[in-house]
Amino acid sequence: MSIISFGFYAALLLLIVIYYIVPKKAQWVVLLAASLGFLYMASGLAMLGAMCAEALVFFGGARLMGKTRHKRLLTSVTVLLAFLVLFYFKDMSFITTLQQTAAFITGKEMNYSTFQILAPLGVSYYTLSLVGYILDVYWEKYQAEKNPLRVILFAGYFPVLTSGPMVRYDEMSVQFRSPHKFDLDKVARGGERILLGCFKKLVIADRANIFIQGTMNSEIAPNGITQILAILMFALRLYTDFDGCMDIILGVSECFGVFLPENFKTPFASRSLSEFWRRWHITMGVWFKEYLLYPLLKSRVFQRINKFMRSKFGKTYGKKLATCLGLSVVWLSIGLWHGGTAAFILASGIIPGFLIICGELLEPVFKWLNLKLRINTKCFSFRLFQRLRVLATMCFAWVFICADSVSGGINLLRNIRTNIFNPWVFSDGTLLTYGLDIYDFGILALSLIFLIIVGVWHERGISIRDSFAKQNIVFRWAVLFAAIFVVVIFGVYGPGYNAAGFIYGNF
Amino acid sequence: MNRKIAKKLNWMLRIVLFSTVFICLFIWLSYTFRPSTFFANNTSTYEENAAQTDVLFVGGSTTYAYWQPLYGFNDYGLASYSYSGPAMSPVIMKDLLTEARKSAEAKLYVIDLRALHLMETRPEVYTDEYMRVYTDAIPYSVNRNEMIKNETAWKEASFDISNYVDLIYYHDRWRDLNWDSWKWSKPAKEVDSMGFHYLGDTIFSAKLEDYSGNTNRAEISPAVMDVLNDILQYCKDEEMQCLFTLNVFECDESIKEYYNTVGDIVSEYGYSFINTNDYWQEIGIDPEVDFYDNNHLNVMGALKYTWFLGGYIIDNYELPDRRTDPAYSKYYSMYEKNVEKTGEILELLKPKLLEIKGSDNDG
Repeated sequence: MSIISFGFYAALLLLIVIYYIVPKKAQWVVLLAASLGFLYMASGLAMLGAMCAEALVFFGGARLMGKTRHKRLLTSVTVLLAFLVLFYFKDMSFITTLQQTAAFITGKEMNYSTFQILAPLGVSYYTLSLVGYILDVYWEKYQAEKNPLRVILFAGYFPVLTSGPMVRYDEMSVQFRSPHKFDLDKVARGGERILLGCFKKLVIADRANIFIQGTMNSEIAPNGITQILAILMFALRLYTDFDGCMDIILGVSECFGVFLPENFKTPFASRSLSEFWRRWHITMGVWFKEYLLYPLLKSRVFQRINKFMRSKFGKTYGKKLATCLGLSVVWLSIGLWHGGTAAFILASGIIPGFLIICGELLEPVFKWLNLKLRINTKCFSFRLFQRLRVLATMCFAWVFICADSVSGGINLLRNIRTNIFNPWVFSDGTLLTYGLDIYDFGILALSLIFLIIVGVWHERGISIRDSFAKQNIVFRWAVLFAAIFVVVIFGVYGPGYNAAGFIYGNF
Repeated sequence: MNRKIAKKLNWMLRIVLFSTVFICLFIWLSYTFRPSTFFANNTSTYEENAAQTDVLFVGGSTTYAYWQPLYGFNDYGLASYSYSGPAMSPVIMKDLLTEARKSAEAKLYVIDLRALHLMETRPEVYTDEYMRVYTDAIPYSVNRNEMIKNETAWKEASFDISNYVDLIYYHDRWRDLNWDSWKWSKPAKEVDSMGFHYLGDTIFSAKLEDYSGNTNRAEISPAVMDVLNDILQYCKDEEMQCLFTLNVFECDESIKEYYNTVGDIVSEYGYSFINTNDYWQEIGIDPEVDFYDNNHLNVMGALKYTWFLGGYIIDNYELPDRRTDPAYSKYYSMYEKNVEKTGEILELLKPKLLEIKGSDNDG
C-alpha cells in the first residue's frame, strides 16, 4: 500500500477517528495494530514476521543486558546478527560488486552471482533504529523496555517504514506513552504537511522523472546540455521525492500527535559538502555519527591510530587524519546502506566521503588561497558560488545513480563532453521531445521558484506553517483548496503514467 | 464544560463546511474536466424532451443509427427519443434505464438486445473507454456508482477509484481546457435528431439470408443469462411496458438460434421480442446498398427500418398520436431539418448507389 494511494488516505482517516475515540492508554495499541496491518499489506505475512522477530531479538537482547555480565558480547552478537540480516536482504549485490572489481583488477573474466531477494518494507530503517536502541541500552542511556509490543511498535511504526526517518527509542517511547487529545488544528496541520509532500512528489518529482527517463531511454544519446539538464532534474527529483515523502510521513505522524524528527533542512542552501550532509537525510547522518563514528573514534584501535598519526604528522594533522579514517569507514557504510551496488557505494559513499575528507584536510590551504587571492568570503556572490559548487558536486555523484551503474555514469559523463555547447536546445524544441511539453516545464519552473522562496524564508527563520496558521480562515481555506486542486490536477498519476514509487522506499 | 462543547461544535462546523465546499468544488471541476462523450452529445437534448417522450429507444449503435425519431413522429405520430450510445453494455442497461427514468417515465421502452451476443462472443469490445462513454455523461449519483460497480464486477476488474471519480481520471485534460470549458453549457446541436445519429456516406454490400424458419435454440452462457434476467426482472418490477428487439445486421444461423432462446426468455417475463432479421425482406432492406458496414444500416436502411418498426409499434401498442398535439409543434420544424440533413447524405450516397446499381436505379 503506497502512502500516496487513495486506499492509504481512506484508511488513515478511519484510523484517526479510531485513534482519538479509544481510551488514551490504548492509543499506542491502535498504532501498533495499524503498523502491523500496513506492513502485512505492503510486504506480506512472512516479512511482517521477519520484522517482529527482529524486534523481539533486540527486545530480548536489551532485557538480558541487565541480567548478564557479558553485555558487550551480547550487544555485539545482536548487532552483528542484525547487520547480517540487513546485508542478506539489501547488500548481497555487493558480492557481485566485489566480483566485478576483482575482474576489473585482474583482467580475468568471471561468472557474476546475481541475487534477487525480496526485502521487508523498511528493513534498512528499522534495523538501524533497533541497533540504536540496543546500543543506547548498552550505554545505559535508558532502561530496556519491558513490553515487547512497544519495541515492535517502535520498530514497525508504519509512517516510518517507507523512507524513515531513523528514530530513537527514547524520543518515540515518550510520545507513544503520552495521551493525545484530539485537536482539529493539529490534525489539520498534519494534513497540510501531507498536502505539501504530495505536491513535491506528484507535481514536481514524478514530472521531472518523465524527462529523466526520456533522456536515459532515448535511442539517440541526447546532447551535452540536455544531459546536464537531465542530471539537474535528477537532483530536483531526488530531493523533492525524498523530501516530499518525509513531509507525508511527518504529516501522517503529526495527525496522531507523534512528532518525528526532521530529515531535511533546505540542503541546497548548504555552502559545503559537510553542511550538505548535515541538512540532507539528517537522521541518517546523526545515526552514523552517534552509533558508528563516535564509538569508532573512541575505540582502543582508533585511539592507537590517533596516537600513531599524531606522532607522525603532528597534533593537528594527525588528529585530522585519524578522524578522516573514521569518516572513511562511515562513508563506506553509508554507501553500503544505500545498496550493495557499485553505483550506490560510489555515489552515496565514496565520492561525498572523499570530497568531505579532502575538504577537511585542505581547509587551511583553501583559507590561505582565499587570503592570497583577496576573495571576499562574506558576500552574496561567494555564498552563491559555494552553493552552486555543492549542487555541482552532488550532481556529479548522483550521475552514477541516475545512470544506474558506474559504467553508465562514466558513459553519461563522456556524452556530456560531446556537443556540450548547444544552447539552442532551449529554443529549437529539442527539450520537448523527452516526454514533457512546454506546460510541464512551466509547472516545474514555477514549482522550483516556489521551493526557492520557501527555502529562503526557512533560512531566514520564518516558519511558513506558523505564519499560515495565523491567517484568517477564509484565506487559509482558499489556499488549501487551491493547493489540493493543484496536486489533483497537475499531479503525475493515473492512466498514461507509470506509477513511480518513492526512491528512498527502495532502501 | 460549555467551552469544551463550544469548541467541539466549532470543530464539527468547520469539518462539515470544509468538506461541503470541497465536495462542491470537486464535483464542479470533475464536470468541467470530463470530455464530451458521444452518449452525452447524442442525448444532450433528452432532458428537455423527456417529458414529451412516449417511446424511449435504448440500445447501442444499432439503435441510434437505425431509429429515426422524427420520421417516426411524422409518419406515425410517435414521440420518441433514442437514448443510445456506442457499445452499450447490457450490464449497464438497467442503470441507464434508471437514469433516463429520472427525467420522465415513457409509455413504451424499446430495448435492443444486439449486445447480448456480442458480450457472449466478443466481450473484449466492452472496454473501460466504452464504459466511460456512459458514466462520464451522467452526474455523480448512487445510480452511477451502481453502474460502474456492475460493469467492473462483470469484467472481474479490481476496484479503481478513477472509475468513480472523474477528476482523477481526467485530471490531465487541463491542457485541453479553454474559457468555454468553464461555462455551464450543453453541447450545441446543429440539427436535433432526438438521439438519431447520421452515419457517414458509405455503402457496404452485405449478405443477408432468410433464417426466419429456423426454430432451433442455442445455449446462452449463465453469465449472459443473468444479465438478461436482470434487465427483464427490472422492467417487470418497475412495471415498464417494453418491447425487446434485435435490429437488422449481417448475421448467421447460430445468431438466429441464439436469439430464439433470448426470445423465449423474454416471453417468460410477458414481454414481446421481435427479431427484425426475420423481416428484412418485408422491411425492404436491400443488402447491396442499405448497409453502412456489416453491423449497421446506413441512412437509406434506417429510413426503411423506421417505417417498419414504427408500423409494428402502433399496431401492437396503444400510444397517442402526437401529430395533432400543439405541444409537439416544434417536432415539425425539427423533422424538416432532419429531412434536409437526410437529403444531404442521400445526395452523397447517390453516386455510390448508381455505381452499384447502375443508371436504372433511382435510389
